Amino acid sequence: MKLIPTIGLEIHAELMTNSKVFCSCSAEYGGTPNSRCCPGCSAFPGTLPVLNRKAAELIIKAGAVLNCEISRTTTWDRKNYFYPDLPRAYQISQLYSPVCRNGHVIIKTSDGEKRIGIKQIHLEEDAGKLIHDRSPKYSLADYNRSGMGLIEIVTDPDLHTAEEACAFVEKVRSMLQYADICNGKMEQGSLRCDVNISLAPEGAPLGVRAEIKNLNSVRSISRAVEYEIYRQTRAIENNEPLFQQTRRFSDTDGETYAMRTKENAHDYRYFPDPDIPALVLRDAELDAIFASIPKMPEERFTQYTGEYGITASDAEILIGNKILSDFFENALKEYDNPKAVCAFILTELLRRVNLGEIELENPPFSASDLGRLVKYGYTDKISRGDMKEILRAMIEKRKTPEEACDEGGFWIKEDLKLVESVIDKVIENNPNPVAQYRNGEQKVFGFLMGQASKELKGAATPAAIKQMLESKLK
Amino acid sequence: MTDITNATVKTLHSSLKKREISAEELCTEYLELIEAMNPDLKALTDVIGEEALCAAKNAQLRLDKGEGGTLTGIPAIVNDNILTEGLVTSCGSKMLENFIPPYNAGAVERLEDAGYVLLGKACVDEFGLGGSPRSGIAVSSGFSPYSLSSDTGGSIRRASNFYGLTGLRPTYGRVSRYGLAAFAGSFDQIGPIARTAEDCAFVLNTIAVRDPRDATSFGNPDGSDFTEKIGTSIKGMKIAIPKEFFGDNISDETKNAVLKASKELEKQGAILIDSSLEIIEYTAEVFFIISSAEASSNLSRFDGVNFGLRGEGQTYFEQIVDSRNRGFGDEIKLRILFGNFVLSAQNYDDYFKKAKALRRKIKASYDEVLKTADAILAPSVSDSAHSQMFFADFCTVSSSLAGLPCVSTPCGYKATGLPIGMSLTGRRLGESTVLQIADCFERVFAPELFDVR
Repeated sequence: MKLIPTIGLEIHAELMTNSKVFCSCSAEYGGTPNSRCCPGCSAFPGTLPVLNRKAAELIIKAGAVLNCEISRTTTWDRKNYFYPDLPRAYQISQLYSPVCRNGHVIIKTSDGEKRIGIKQIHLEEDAGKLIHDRSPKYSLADYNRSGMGLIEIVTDPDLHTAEEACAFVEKVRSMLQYADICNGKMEQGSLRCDVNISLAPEGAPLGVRAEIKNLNSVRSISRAVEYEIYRQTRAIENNEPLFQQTRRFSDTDGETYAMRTKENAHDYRYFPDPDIPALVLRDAELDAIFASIPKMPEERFTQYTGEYGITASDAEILIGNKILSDFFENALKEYDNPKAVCAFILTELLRRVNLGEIELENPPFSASDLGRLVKYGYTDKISRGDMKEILRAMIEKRKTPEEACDEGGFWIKEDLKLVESVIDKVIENNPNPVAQYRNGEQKVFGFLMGQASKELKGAATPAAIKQMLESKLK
Repeated sequence: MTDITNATVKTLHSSLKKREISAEELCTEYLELIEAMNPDLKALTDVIGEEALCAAKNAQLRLDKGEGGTLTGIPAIVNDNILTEGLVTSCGSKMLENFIPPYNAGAVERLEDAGYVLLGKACVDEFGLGGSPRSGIAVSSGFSPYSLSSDTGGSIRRASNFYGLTGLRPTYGRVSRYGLAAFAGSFDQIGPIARTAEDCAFVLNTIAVRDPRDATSFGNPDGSDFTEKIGTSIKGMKIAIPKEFFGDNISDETKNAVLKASKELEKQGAILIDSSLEIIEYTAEVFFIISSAEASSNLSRFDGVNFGLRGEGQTYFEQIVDSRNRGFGDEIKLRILFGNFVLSAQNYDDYFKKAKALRRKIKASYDEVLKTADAILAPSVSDSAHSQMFFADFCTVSSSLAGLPCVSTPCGYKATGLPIGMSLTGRRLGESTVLQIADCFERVFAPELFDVR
């Protein structure tokens, strides 16, 4: 009997808004505990939620990039449950009319491309954070995260392997990053995933499902899925009963543990929130939001490999990281030579990143600084061999390329008198090669050119030296 | 000297303007009366004499410069479920016994900007449930010419009815709910209880302002002056009298008083229309279901963790059970239990969903009648024992369900000497019209002529 795993995912992605979703507190990550909360997200009596329009804009963008239908009218529901990290004792969410429905994403796996359906995307608020390890007697509550805007992306049960689940999460994560919806930092909890998984013989109805909560790395998702396939397979083969359960994954031992079973499941007593009017979207507003979506990875790949003539593997490296890809595009605004800029980024810049000298998120120079540096090298304003050293000055001394060239004397000056006197000297000192050249042995030209260039470092462009040398040798 | 026990905002404003009295003197007079009578009446939680005198002084400075409006320097009382910065706002609950809000309610801000003089907070039933009787007692005893009160299923109108006052529940969304401790958010509205319809209009002019902190508020989109039609003729106005409000649920005394009032309105030029609001027999149940559901959710925040009373227990669960057991009164507990019952997955469709559908129908049947009529006349409250189903009064809750403005004004007295009130429900944003009709009646209402004994 061959058992087929069926997997559905719920991805929670924190929105990149400046303020929280129903109040005006800062939505920045972290901070001194309880420094980013107000009477609203602390549930003081008399406070009311007011929807952050930016959050609405971001979920609409998410719907657009994940190919969803966008509802023109959307309402808000309360999910009621008691927990100390939830100050109002209800979470504002969307059960009855989510903003987005019926989307899909194409993923690449070792078996080729697969289309994964997206059932819905809805907007909700995050809860606070509890800290249990300070004392055995009490727990502490930090409400900085309380009320941060989240979207929940719910897939159809279209996934069947850990590889597919991971590919889907990676793909969605990259799209959310590219559309400036979520920063995708799984280690900070900005993107988390719940996995629903069941096993059944091929063609049979779906089996009993387990839900593994709160996975916060692609690796954990893969391990949790593998473990569940192992656990459920063994149970079915040994005729042991499986229960519909919520489980948690332990990173330490790679196993999942039961948290609660269906009989103990919460009754969330959902009902429409009377405090928040329906969000009604007009076509013009939607069009404006769609128009503001930045270029997505596929579009960039086509452009890089086509119009820019960059190899597919180089393009993949650039696009693999949105910050890098944006850096590249911004550098092009300064110097429109994609191949040259790409080559410099992939060799020199990434080498510095890998050495830990530069953080891409917070580089010591701007993309346009880098663009100008490459431009100077490729237009003979400086010697290409000097670019590395100039980059070092830009990193270590925080200089602009112009300052670094001024201070290091890297500018090529085009001093033709000096060129003439140096070349005269080279011809005088090398009578044999000069004679050989004049007898038609072209290859010695390179030697003479090298002698002159060495002397003339920075004083003239190679083209000027070449021209002068040729005319003198005639 | 002005007789403050019967003074209106209008007369006090005129005295202040003519410098017959200063805002401080006025404030002192009121404070003296309150200090003498409140210990027995217990209408106010506390008297805030010093702050009140300070506010009066500032108001007088504005008046001296010829600045300020109708409410400048006029004393007022605010219900204790409406938040006042720095002043204990307990909402009548042990849960919030020592709660000092760090902010003012939106409506309180508006009154403060207008230069009102807050004398104290009126006691409320737990979270404004039931009625605002103390607010009514305070105004009728002359503690202040008006109070800022709240109305979920009829509090303002019940208090006005029982204490011979005029009170207005504005259109849902007229006045910001920011800073009103929520009981049932889709019903809660803030409004005035005063002596006259005109005074209600003065207060509404000040507090009907859109507040970005309440997404359901829209304020005064037409820029209406609610006093504009005060004192003008009601000739040609159509007043509907639905038969359902004059059935077995209402005592003959009350029916006769309201019908007699309708004849008076006819004499003033109004056209009376016999009409029917078919499904209002279900309003008490519908209100009880929806309001309890919302209340159960709104009151869940009082879990003993962030503020309010904290109970004991070894676990979070034990602690919230103890906190809520000790912090809430029986009536609130009943609503919470019932609200959770109707929202549970098992009962949602049978109760909550049906109640919501009926609410839409009730609203539609109101809109239908108000297509032709300018206002609907009814007794303010039902007064026979069996009509008080589920602690909700079908007379008052029906306009709450429809979200429409409703004014209650006195129209007679019972044999016991207790006042009888009639209510006028208007179209959405139709406050000016119902206040105009109430005002017209107030001008001709002489209690002795309406004695139905």
